[in-house]
Amino acid sequence: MPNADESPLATYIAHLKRGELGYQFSPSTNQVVFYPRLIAPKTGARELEWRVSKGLGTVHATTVVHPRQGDPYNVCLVDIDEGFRLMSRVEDIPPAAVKIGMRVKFRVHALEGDEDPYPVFTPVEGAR
Amino acid sequence: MSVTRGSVAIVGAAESDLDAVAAGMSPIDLMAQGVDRALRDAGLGLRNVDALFCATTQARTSALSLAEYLGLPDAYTDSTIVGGSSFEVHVAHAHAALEAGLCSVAVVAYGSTQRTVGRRAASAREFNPYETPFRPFLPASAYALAASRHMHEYGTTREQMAEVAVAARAWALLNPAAWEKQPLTIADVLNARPISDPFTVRDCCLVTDGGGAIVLARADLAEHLRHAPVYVLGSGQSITHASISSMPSLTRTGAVESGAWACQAAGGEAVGDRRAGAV
Repeated sequence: MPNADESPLATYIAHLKRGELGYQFSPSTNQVVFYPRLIAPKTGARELEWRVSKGLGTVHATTVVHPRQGDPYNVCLVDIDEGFRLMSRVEDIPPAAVKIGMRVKFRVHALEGDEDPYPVFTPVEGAR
Repeated sequence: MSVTRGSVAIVGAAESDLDAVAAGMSPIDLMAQGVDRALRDAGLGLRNVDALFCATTQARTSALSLAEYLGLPDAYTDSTIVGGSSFEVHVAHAHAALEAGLCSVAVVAYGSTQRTVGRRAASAREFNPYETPFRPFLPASAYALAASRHMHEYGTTREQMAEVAVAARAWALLNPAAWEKQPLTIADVLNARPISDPFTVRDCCLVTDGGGAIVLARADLAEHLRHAPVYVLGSGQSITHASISSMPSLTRTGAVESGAWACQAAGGEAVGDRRAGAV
């Protein structure tokens, strides 16, 4: 068998470079899959299709890391509306102001040099 | 098919040097030291050993290293590493290997020089593209995320969580080998340097050097050794996740499953009835 053209991670990064939060879906079982993989967990299904999230979610858990050097920063887990969870951070507000249940929306973290883009979140205006 | 309740027993146990060990000690030195002391505790010697179970974050192929150090090229080995519960998994695997007759005297060993070499050097994390860019301070941040969820779902308070560290310290004060010698209060915990909210450095495990080993044998040999055998009744295992962002529920750990299976394997009824020790 020839090698796979592109790794799941590379496809995910390609979506991010287009400003998209990509995730996988297994049609045979209606199963959302994240983090991206080559086969679906539990079923082993190979037919995983890529979809683009609307980028909306809810903070599921949150912490503020206090590094020895530098300012404290937020790390959180976000439940995306389409049915998967990922680690990220909420920006534009103080790290301790991030609360469980907060509605957030995705944007791509700006690239610095060779660093791969990654998703970050900001509070949804007007949400409860 | 399953292992037989009580077919094997723990027959010896010992700690290696602890806290801040002599310069140049390796984790494998500490494993060997623990093995030596545990075998003496059992009334056995290295010549009796034919199985090695070991794990340490500081050595990816610890079974190779320990077999080399102890001079046991034909040993049955298992260096399953799943974090802190690796050694309970080793006991479960030793139970099966002993009962199957694949070995007769098994040692389970651990060693760490994390205080001496520094926490970061001892437990370097693998790069995870879906977590590492966010710089969680692992494992503390993983537990902190779970704590935030627990507080949200159950109203658990900082003070209640600090009581865990306070209780652990109170127990430690009864042990002359313990590193810390002073009592700890809830205020001490809350006012200590923050690590990853809600946790401060005093909520987190101490970073000390140490190690140890236990010895297991089938029941027929165990009955003839130095101590009353500590029979292994049953084990259970459950893996929920490797990365915290993949943990299905932050407030329901795999211990719910593994505890129930261990009790069931041990012949238990409801979990609440158990008087046997569990790890």
